[in-house]
Amino acid sequence: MRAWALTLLRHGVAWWPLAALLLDAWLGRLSPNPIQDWTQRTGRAALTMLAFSLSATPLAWWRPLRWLKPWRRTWGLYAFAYAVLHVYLFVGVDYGWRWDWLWDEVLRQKPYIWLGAAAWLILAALAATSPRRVARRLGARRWKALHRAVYVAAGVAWWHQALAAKGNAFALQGDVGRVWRYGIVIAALLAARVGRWGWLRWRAARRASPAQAG
Amino acid sequence: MSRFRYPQPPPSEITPEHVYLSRRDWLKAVGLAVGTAALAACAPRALKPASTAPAEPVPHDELGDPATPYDIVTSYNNYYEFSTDKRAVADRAQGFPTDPWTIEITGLVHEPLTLGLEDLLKRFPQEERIYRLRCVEGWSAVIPWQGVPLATLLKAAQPKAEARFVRFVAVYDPEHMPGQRNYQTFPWPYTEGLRLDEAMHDLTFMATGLYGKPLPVQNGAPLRLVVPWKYGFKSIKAVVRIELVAEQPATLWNTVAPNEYGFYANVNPQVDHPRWSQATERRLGEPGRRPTLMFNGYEEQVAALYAGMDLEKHY
Repeated sequence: MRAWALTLLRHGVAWWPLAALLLDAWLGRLSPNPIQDWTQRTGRAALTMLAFSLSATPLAWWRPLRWLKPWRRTWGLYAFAYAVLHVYLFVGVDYGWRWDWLWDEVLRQKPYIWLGAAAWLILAALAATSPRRVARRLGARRWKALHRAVYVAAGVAWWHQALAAKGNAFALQGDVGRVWRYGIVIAALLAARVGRWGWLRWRAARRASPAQAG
Repeated sequence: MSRFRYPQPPPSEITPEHVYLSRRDWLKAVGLAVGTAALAACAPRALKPASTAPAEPVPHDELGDPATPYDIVTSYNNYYEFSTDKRAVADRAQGFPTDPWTIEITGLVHEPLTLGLEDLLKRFPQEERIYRLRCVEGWSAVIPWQGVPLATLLKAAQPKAEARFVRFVAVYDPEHMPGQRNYQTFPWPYTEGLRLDEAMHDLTFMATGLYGKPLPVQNGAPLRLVVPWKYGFKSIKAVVRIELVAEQPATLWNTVAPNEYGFYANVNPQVDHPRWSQATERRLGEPGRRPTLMFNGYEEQVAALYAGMDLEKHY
């Protein structure tokens, strides 16, 4: 594929949710509760970009798609950008910087807030250690260990979404189809990494002791 | 118990529908305002309300808040019988048959009644009430209803002395209500309940119309309960049976998720939903949030019903 087409794909998928939101707002297609539309759809875009980011490595195992591997960083940073927008909309636009109201919401230990905040902080740490200079200073081993936390962020963000969704996702009541579609995709992506790691280890162990195998 | 006189505007003060900003214009204005606020994150400013000031006065509730535009009230509906998507309900509700419609008032009464909707409209004078509606999900609206106080209907049937509760049953029509086919985990039909003194309260209302028009299907046509000091899910739609009973009846949401939705479900900013706070709400058509009022602002009228009760326990 041509380079420009790849660049378009790489950034286009990330800009699409924002463009669609602006288009819907322009055409008057948002609901009568537009702040909720904005908050939910930017949150969903963050989770979607996170899933895209997590899919880059497994897809790149297939040789013709090797070039996909660095896209995980691009898409991961877009995920964080949507998460920043999402939190800004919640705190600044929805709550209008009313810290007393927000504090009330958090103080009363609504788990969805804590989970959302935890996922956001993990993504912030990953974004901060994303520049090559910082990564080099951190050292490859530590960087890798830290960035495995992206799976924690994805799981926690998913849980956050499941608690905030209409109905009860865990009792399969209400509007839960989407929540579970996200859950299955994220779990499958994690399973792919764990599965391959296990398989490589097993193969390495077999090769290391050929006498037994023979 | 003190009688509450509800302030009613004369019909001449109800703004004709065409005066309101059209839904599309309004949504565009507010949707873009949110977007602008979102994208101007580097220069945070309080979100300014979009210019929605109509040319003529709109009806207001007794606290001075304007009624929510008709187009919003009729396009943002929680009605799982049609869809869990509030914006899909109005479309899917089109063509739902509400004529003929029969309503029964039965159970522990001396004079069981079976009324066609026209009989009901002929026999009982219609009143107008402008009520706040607070959804348990955290949004709210102000709606001008027409209808009959529930107490008027109940008195016509003459409740027996042993009647303690009122049970409401909505229509069961899976052929026309896709939700009753698709959401099998819900015990259809929708049922609700009130204590008899709550049901007899002046504020408790059976609505047959809104904004001076017959009730649209998505708002509960042809007849729905409106209990303005309780979360919206108590205000059951498309009622076919009102039954006086001795024991507290099972209700749909209380059966499905008893830890989240109580039998009383009084609007209360101090008592949270287990998954979110109820301290604030978003009024449809307004940017930002406002504090939620005790009993949805009807504390003066209804607090006496719950004197001595632990509202944390009886949520």
